[in-house]
Amino acid sequence: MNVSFVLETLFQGFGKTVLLFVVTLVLALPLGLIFAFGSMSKFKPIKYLVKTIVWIIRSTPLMLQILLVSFVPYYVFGTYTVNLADALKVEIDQLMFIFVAIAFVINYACYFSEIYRGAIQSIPRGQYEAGKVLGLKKGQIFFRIVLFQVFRKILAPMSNEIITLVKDTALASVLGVVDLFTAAQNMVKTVISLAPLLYAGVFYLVFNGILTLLFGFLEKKMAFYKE
Amino acid sequence: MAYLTIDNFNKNFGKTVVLQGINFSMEKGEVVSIIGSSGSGKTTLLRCINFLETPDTGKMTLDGEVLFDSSIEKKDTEGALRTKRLNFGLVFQSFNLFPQYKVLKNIMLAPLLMLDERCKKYRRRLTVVALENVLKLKTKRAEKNADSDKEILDIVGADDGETVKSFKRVAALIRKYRSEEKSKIANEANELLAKIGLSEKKDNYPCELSGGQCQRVAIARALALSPKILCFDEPTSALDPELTSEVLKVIRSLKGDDRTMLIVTHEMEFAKNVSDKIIFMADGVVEEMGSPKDIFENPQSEKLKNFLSKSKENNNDESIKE
Repeated sequence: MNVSFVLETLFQGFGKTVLLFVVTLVLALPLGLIFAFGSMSKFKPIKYLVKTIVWIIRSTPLMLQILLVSFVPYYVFGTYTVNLADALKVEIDQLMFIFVAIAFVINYACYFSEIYRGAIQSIPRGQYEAGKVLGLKKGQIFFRIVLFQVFRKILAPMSNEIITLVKDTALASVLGVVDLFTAAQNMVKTVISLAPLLYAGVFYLVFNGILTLLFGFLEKKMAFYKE
Repeated sequence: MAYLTIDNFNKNFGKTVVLQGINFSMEKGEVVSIIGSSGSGKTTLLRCINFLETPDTGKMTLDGEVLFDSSIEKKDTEGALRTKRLNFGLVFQSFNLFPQYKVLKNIMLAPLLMLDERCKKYRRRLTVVALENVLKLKTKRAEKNADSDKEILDIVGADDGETVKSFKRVAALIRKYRSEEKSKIANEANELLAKIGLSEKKDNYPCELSGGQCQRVAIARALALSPKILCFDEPTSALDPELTSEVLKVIRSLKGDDRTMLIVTHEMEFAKNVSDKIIFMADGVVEEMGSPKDIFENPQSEKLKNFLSKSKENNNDESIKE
C-alpha cells in the first residue's frame, strides 16, 4: 500500500469536505438568522410558513433532501442535469457539489434558526425595555444590546451543531461528490486495506479537535460578564 | 396649567381592568410618590407614562404638549414614539443594565448612539450643501433650508459665514464636532458617576457590582439623557434591606437638584420624607391623593387605612427580626 498516494487522495477529498463545510457555514449562519426572525414574525402567514419549512427540514433525513434538490431541475423545470450543467458552464461534478451545498445550507439554516430563536427569546424583556426608554431604535437595540448576548448564548449549542456538520459532509457521496469519506471508501477497494478509512477517521478527529479548541477559546473569551 | 397632566387613563389586559379613570397632575420640580398594594396598577400606570404600554383611553400632556391622546386615531411612528419617550427616564425594579458593557459605557451608550445619528444627519446635509456650492447650484432646497443649513454649520463649528466647498472639509468638520461632543458626553458620565459615588467602579462590569450599586448606575444612565421627568418603578424592591438606603440616598439627593420625579415605591418612610405629593392607588383607581401629612396622618378611605396599618405591621415585623 502506497501511503503517500492514499494521503494525497484523502487530502483531495478533505478539500471538498472543507469547502462544503465553509460554504454551508457562511451561508447558513445568516440565513438561519433570517429564518429565526421569520419564525418569530408578528405577521402570521410568514411565521407559519417558516415554521412549516423548519418542521419539514428538521423531520426528514438530510440524505433525502440532497436527492430531492438534485431532482428539482428535471421534475420541476424539465431540464436534464447535463443540460443544466452546460447552461451554467460548469462540470457535472461541480453541479452535483452545488446541489449538495444547497441542501446543506437549507438544512443547517433550519437548525441554526432554532438555536437563534431560543437564544433571542431568552434575552430578558427588560433589556429591550431599557433600550426603549433610552430612546434607542429597534435596530440599535438588537445590534448594540441583544445580539452580543445572543452570540454568547448560542456558542455552546452552535459548537455541537457545527461539529455534526463536519461529519454530515460525508453525505455528499449520495450525489457522487468525492469528499473525504467517499475518497477513503473508494480507496479501500484499490489498496485492499481498511487503513484509508482509519486515516479518514483521524482527519475528522483532528478537524473537530481544532474546532473544539476554537469554541473553547471563544467561550472563555465571552465569559467576562455574568447576567 | 400643571407640568404633567394625566387625564382619564384606562387600561385593560384582556378582561382584567388594570387602570380605571386615572387622573392626576404634577408640577415641575415636584416629587410625587405612588403607593398601593401589589396589583393596584401602579407599575402599569408608570409604564403607560413611559410609552411601554399604551392606555386604551386617556390623554397625557407634558409642559403644554399633548404626548398622548387616545381620541386621535393616528398611531405614532416609531420615531415619534422615541422622541416622546425621551421626555421621561425610567429606573426599573430589576435595573436592566447591559451586562456586556462596563459601567461607564452603560451610561454613555444611548447618548453616544444619538450623537452618531446626529453626525450622520449633519454629514448628509452638509454633503449636499458642499455639492451645491461646488457646482454653484441654486436649488430650491438650498433656498428653503437656508436657515437650517446655517444652523447646522454653526453647530458643527464652521467658521462664520464659511461656505463649505469640499467633502474633505465636511468630513473634518463632522470629525471635530463628533470628538468634542464625545468628550462632553464622557465628562457628563463621569460627573454622574461621581454624583452617585461610583467613580472608582467605572471600568467594572455590572455583574461585579452589588444590587444597590447597579441601581445607582441605572439611575445615572437615566439621568445621562436629562429627562424632564424621572420615573422609578419600585427601585428598591429587588434589593436587600441593607442596600436599600444607598439607593434612597441617591434619589433624595436628586430632590435637592429640583428634579421632577415620579416614584412607585413600597418604602413608606421614604415616600413620606421625600414626596411633595402622594398618590394612593387601589384596584386600578386613584383612591386618595394629597400631601404626605394628609395621607399618613389623616387617611380618609377605608382602603388606605387598611393599607397603612398593614404596612406598619410589616415594618414592625422587620424591626423585630433585626
